[in-house]
Amino acid sequence: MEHLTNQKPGIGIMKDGGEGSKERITRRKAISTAGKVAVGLVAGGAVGGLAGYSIPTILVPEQTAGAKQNIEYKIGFIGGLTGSQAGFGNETADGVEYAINEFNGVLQNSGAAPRFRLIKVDDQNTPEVAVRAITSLKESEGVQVVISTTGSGNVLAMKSYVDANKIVLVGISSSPLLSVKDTIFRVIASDAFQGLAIVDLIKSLGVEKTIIAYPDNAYGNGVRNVLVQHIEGEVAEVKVTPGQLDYSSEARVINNTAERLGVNKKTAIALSLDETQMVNILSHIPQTFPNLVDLQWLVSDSITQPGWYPPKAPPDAADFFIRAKGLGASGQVIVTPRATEVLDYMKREKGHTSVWSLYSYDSTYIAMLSILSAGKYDGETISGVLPTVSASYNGLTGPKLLDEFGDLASQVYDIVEMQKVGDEYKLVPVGVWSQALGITFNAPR
Amino acid sequence: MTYSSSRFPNFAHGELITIGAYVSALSSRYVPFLPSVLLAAAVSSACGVLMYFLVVGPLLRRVTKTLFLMIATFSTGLIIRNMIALLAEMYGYLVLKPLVSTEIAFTMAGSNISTLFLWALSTSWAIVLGLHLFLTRTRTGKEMRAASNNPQLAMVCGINTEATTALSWGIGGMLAGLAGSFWGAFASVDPYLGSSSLLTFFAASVIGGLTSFFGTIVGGYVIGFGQNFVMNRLNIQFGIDVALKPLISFIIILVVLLVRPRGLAGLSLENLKRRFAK
Repeated sequence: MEHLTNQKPGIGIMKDGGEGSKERITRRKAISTAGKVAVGLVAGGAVGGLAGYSIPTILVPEQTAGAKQNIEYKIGFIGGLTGSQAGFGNETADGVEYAINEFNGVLQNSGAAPRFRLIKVDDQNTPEVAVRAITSLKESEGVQVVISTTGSGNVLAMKSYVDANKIVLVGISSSPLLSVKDTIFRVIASDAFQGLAIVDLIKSLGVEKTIIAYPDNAYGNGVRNVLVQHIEGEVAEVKVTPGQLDYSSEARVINNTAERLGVNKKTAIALSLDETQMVNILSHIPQTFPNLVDLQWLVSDSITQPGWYPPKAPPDAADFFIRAKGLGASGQVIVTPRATEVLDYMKREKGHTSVWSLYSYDSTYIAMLSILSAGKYDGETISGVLPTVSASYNGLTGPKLLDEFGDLASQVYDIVEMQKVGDEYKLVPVGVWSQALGITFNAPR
Repeated sequence: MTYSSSRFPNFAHGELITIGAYVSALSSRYVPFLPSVLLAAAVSSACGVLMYFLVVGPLLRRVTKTLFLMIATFSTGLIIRNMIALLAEMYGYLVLKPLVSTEIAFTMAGSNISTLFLWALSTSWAIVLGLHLFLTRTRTGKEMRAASNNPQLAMVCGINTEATTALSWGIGGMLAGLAGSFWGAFASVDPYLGSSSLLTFFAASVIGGLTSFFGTIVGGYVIGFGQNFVMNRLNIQFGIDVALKPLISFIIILVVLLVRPRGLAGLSLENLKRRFAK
């Protein structure tokens, strides 16, 4: 396991051994092949035999067949470039920019005509501005393909416009509420998987009653729906309204609910919270309701948010979690050796090593390959070929096979617990979860 | 404090709280909690004075309309808030918790009282007492009250009203810094901490009649009791979402403004007796 600096919460990095240099060569070959398409070459069938990925079916773009002329495909980008999520937004924009520059460079070297032009729009991470952004990209610039790194709530706000105009939106929002058949594609798994991991934890630990604490937003409601749908025993809910000054009242409601259900290991509290809520609620409970240590504490991917345990917070909450023998589900992220090169560049030129720039890179690559593969710059046609292109694409963050809803088809979670090693608090894997195999603990519990 | 001296509500007061909270949270990584609180109070106080000399003072000399002054402080608050958000995002401090470990001091009526509550309570009462003595027993305090009551007359009497007003902004900033430190240790710190708490402290001030020192303190207790105890009971009895607790502040502001716009200001035992005698 290797942890990258400046990474967003919720991500444990796992290096994929092996085929880095080989993959780089094949990537360039693939782009080159795609470029040749644009100058009139027809490549039917897959570019097979290449480790990494291949482009399945490539057609001649209608407007360029037989003519070597300048063709420009616009790639829109919508993300929070200013506001509270500006750091994240800019990191993902860096990944998009890097991918487009690299792709254009290879196209140029191979003598291919098409170029991709990036049009970035800042949505300030708010739904209203996101809707204005997508409208402006479509109506002013005629953009058909957008890379979106904005939050799930903002994507949900844009969805009706995207659907109506058949815009292809490739992104990294993760709410299960977006798992429907449409032209929105996601190169990361839906949060539904973390919900399923928690459900399997509940089953394997013999829990009979569960309290679900979740924020009233796209993320929280998505995970909550999965939990309510799959948990077999009694379920009580504590809905947490985001944006509050303090969550001590919610901590009290959790305590009241737990007392009603019974404070013992047969009752679980399943937390899927935003970072502020995690920090707030988990800091109140050890002080005010120390008896809740007897509950079975289970936390979704929010456990990896660093704000609630040392060195970012006092040790109270982490010590409480250790005493409670709490468990969490932390999403595994595969980072290929080629990704390390990109991250080195990001560190050198942009001052960050955000794994999210790798995801936005992969989103952009899939989008560009799909445009060339579709043969025409039309949202409906591009969305038709995108799943096939994606299935053959082995990205910086691993394979990108999509499910029927256009979301990453699988996700593996580490089952982690908090441990104090010397003076340091760490989330240590004690098991693993996958949809196929369920929970496998490293040692019997 | 600042309303009494400058006669308009300072909408950037929340940002002074945020500054104090961040200073305390960050410095608690290097020094114990008490020095970090003092540092937070000093920095917020300095920011309050700066705000007065850079924004409020020049405007007070040029403009008399309260609306303009309110808009100016609102804009100042917006700028500070976004600067804090930008820096916090840059350095990964969007959500921060001061490194203060607290423990249960004792249990009262089934509720655990933490050491943090004891520190906050004793500090707030020490400040109340200290400020009362300062305002009533010292020359500077009396000058501040005089300048606040009638600036023109105070000036004629040789009081430097500019200095007393600046001092009141410094004291206001200091109190905001202290509040931010304790609040951060209790909950958590983020760039919007102060602005989110605006409604709550305006409600407390409205109960206090905006200019009454002790009235505002009583107002604070009323709001705190309403938002926590009353809301908790409503949740248990009727299942009302505890997230609706800001509603308590709104209701109190409305009721006070409709029934007694002066709040608790000017309300004494004598007045109450007279009212009930009628």
